[in-house]
Amino acid sequence: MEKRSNNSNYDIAIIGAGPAGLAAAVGAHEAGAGSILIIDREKYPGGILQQCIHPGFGLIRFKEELTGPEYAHAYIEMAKKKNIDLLLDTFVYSISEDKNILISNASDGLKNIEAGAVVMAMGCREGTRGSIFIPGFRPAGIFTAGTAQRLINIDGLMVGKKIVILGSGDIGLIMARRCTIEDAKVEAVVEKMPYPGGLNKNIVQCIDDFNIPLLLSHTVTFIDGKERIRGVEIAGVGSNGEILDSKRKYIECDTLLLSIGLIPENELSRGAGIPLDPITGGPYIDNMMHTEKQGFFAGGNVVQVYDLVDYVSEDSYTAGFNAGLYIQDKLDMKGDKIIIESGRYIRSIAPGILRIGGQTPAKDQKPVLSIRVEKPLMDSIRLSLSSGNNIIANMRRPYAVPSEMIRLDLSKYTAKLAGKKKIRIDIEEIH
Amino acid sequence: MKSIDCIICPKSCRIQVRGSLRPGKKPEVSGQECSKGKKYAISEICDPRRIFTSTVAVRNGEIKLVPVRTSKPIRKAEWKSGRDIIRGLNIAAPIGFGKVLIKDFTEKGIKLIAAREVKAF
Repeated sequence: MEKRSNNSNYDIAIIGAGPAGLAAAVGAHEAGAGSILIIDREKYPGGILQQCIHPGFGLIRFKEELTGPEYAHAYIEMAKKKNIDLLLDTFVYSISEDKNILISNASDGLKNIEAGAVVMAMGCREGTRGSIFIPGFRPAGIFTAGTAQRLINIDGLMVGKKIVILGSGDIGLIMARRCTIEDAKVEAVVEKMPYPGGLNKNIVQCIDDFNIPLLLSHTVTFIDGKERIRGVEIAGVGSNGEILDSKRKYIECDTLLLSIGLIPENELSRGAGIPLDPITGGPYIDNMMHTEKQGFFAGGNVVQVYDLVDYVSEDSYTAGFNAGLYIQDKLDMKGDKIIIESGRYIRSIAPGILRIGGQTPAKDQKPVLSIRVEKPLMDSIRLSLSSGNNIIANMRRPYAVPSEMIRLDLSKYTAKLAGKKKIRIDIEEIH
Repeated sequence: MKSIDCIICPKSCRIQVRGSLRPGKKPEVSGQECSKGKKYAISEICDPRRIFTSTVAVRNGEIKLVPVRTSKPIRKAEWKSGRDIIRGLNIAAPIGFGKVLIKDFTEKGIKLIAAREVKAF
């Protein structure tokens, strides 16, 4: 992996050197692409993994529990062994429909890079106070959980001493533990839903281990403090989302962390004319991780927010691999285009389009869907795959929760899917 | 009976442990989907442990902090002593990936290792 590059013409350009971009580069190389460039705005590759210093990564991909920087290291080493150019500290302004990439950095100034295929791997960003309109003043001391994570783990700056965290997604839970280890008192993790947003394992090891109060069905209703935040008012949330005045309470704090959801970062995709799915916030994508714009592929959190980096790597490898085939005119895009519709209890499905040529899917046509449910379904469930009134397949799962994507491999059913225009996936509870 | 939520993988199996855990006795463990779960549930009752991670200050490095982890899980109750040990540390770059920073961390045989390479500035 080269640090600099004077080249301005590449087979494949990958936007983002996080887990998605690195895996895509490995995939593109293994598919036989000639010249591959990864561009990233940070000084180091690895993306968000570098600030995720906790363990829990790689159990599926590497069969061992790694920290974020260790997982990143594994992929950086893989990319280093291949002939992949890396342009760091570089901002991408725009990508045109014909794949001209306008970049800038300190040594090149403004520069245009041409690519034969592009893999979008920009990841996601966090929701902010503005996304949920918390009333009150606008003092210092309000951070997104990921910003706080970066300040603490990369920059060595502590964010505060008395902390309230709004949102119980995994980043919020991880930061509750991290702040406690760094001597802050986490007064409460406040969650508007009646169930936690993050994985149960994180409730155990981040919340229960440190006796941090987790207030479910509560939200922050007011931010107090003129210069620095002085406290927050919280209130109960009823079953229809209404604020319960009887449960209003003031909590003193000097810091409020927000862990209220992640948004795929697709300004560049929009600029390139890639159609976006309003539900996932990412590009419409098929099982080859090809977008609806010829020659543009996408992988990782830019497509949909994943809960495990292992799956980000897997799907982004596919994106890169197929970009590599595409550039050599080897990608079979003639298969039937099948639209996947979401039924009951399903919040999102990606890919939302299947394109299956032969009867046995090739390595590059892996028909694996990621399905996210909209609420916890704790009894057994049945997933059914149907076309019109015909049930193609039924699959059982012991449970489904919003914090864990269901990975559904349709390889076995591809013969039955041939010729279909639309299929539907439904979930039923089995009592 | 004790109920343990497994933290080994995202499945978070709820594991039930019945019977005595004294040496020589065989407790009845159910609810786990793999053998790691069984091992975890028993250890969580007898000797609860966690991988400890944090950061350590670096001097002359291209970055200010190096992320660190323990080679094996430490006793759950010892996270504070772990934190106190690393608080005073200041390691000179370069630091190789996986370098052992402390040989016997909270107990003998548990190493504190660098989880990232840090080049000298």
